[in-house]
Amino acid sequence: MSQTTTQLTLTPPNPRVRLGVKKLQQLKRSQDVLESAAWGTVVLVVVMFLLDGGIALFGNLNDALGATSRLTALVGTDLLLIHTLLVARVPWLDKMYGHDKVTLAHKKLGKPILYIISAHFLASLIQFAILDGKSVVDEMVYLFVEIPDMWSATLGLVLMIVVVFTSINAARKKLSYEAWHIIHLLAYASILIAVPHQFTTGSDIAGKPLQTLFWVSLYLFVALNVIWYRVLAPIVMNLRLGLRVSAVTRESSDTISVYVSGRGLERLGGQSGQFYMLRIMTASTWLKPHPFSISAAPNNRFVRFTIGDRGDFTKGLSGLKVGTRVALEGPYGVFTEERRTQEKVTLIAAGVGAPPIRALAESMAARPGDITILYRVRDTDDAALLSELQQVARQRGFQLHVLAGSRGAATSWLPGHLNSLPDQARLIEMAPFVSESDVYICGPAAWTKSVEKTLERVGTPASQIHAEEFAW
Amino acid sequence: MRSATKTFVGLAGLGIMVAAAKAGMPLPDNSVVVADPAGNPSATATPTPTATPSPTATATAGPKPRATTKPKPTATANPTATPTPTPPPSGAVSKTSAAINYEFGTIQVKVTKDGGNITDVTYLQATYTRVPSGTMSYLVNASIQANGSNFTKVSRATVTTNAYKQALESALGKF
Repeated sequence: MSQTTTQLTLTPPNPRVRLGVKKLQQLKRSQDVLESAAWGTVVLVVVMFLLDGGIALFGNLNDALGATSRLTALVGTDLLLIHTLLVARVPWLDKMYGHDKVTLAHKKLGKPILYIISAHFLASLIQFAILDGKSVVDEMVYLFVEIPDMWSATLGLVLMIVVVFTSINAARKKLSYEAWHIIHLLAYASILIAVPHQFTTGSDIAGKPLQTLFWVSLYLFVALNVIWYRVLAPIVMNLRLGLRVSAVTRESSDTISVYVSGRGLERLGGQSGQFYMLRIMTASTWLKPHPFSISAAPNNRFVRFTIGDRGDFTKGLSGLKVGTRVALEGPYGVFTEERRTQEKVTLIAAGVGAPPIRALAESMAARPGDITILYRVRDTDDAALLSELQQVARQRGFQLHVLAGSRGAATSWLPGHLNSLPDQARLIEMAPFVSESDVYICGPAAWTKSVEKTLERVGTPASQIHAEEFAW
Repeated sequence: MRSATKTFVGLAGLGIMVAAAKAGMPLPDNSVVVADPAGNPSATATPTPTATPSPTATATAGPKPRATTKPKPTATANPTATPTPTPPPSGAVSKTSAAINYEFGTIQVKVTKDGGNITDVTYLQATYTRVPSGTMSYLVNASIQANGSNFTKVSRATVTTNAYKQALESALGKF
């Protein structure tokens, strides 16, 4: 905290930033290619099914059930593999969409996949029962006895149901993160134990070299991405870095900063605005990673996280001892200068959203006057990182507006004493270039929405508005 | 995805799927007729060996040209077993089964025995709705191996398996 009096050592700004809409178009193009490829796999499996005479199988009930069973199995498995890839924390996906968007896509796919796979289960069971002239229950018993792979496949479906149901909002809220996470890991087991029946009994793989090649490579591609990026790469990186807590300082009555150091920090890479999953490597906490944004631009002396100590976990952090081992996974997120297209930038933070804004202010390439910072706090005397932001603004010639005070109108994101004018008028007053600047917003979700609405009113194009949702 | 790309990819995907559906459309009655349903293989087999001794002869034997695309037992094995053009090798005797009508069609086979062992089974008629690929040839191989109808059924082709066994037993009963 002594930094309030001394000159801050600022990391030199990124000299290689590219502005202009061209990179945005390139990004959109590669996103289109990737998404088309993803949907292309769905089309491909359907095409392979149709070429095999699939559509002719909807003639009578029995055949229709068989065809439904095959089609749902193919589409469901394909989507399931894409769904799995989306949580592998693959850097090339993260770079294109950001961790939040990828995770949201993963969440959205969960339920539909379960429905599709359940349809597959029911259709094949009923079809077999009709074929063999048995009741559904008898047929199930019969299949279990006759085809051992059916046991594991059915168990896989049961696990999948458990995983999806514990992830539905209502249930998710009742569970601790740890309990939910352990249950969620069962999803991998669910996928793996269902694999054998696809190859031994599936009529769309066995004895069809092209289809076999497609499915084996898809499985391998997803598996390798998960194993490397989700498991091995973080382990290797952390073994090399040997990270430990080097300091813990109090920033405000409810915020602390944790400094982490290790060997060769430059290997971590990363940019201002990104976050890491932080694991405190003690017996009770190493299984509980938490996401935190870095609150100082990447440098080779330390990685700093500034953390509001409100949750169970973050409260415990204030007692963290210097020298404690920690592990990082990341960096993740696209709340970075990579997404910037304009010369002017407006940075808007509220309370706990300050850390990434503080890091961005430090390292963004800008001339004096290019950047305007708005910082919404309850109380100027108790605002985390405020003095640092003031220093950065002074040293680099940026505008800083501190918006202190309690809330006024419910729809306003500004303090009550500024509510005499609409938010958009206040915004233009403070940041005259806001409509032609890139705007980075970080704060609570509802507050962020309200800022975005105001930005829409003042005419900032949506492509220039950057906000990261907290989703993990 | 941008909306233009979405439209393009959507339409292209749809188009490809429709084309695939058309290409994959099998025969209207979804059946394979291997030889003359009258149960008189020599009648159709006689003219073919002289005209074209190659395996493509099967194409002319069947009434529908698409039949050759099905990976089913071919009639190429027929000429050696057909009694009319060449006399059978010592001890080999063939018997034709009754045509078994069952839920999904008709199955009729011709069984060749040498000594006490089944050496060959040929389909004279085989109509069936879609069964796991390889089912029909599996049935033949299984009955040769088991030297009879005592072999495990094909899962998902129970009815077809049973009809085949019935046909097989009917032929075996004639020896």
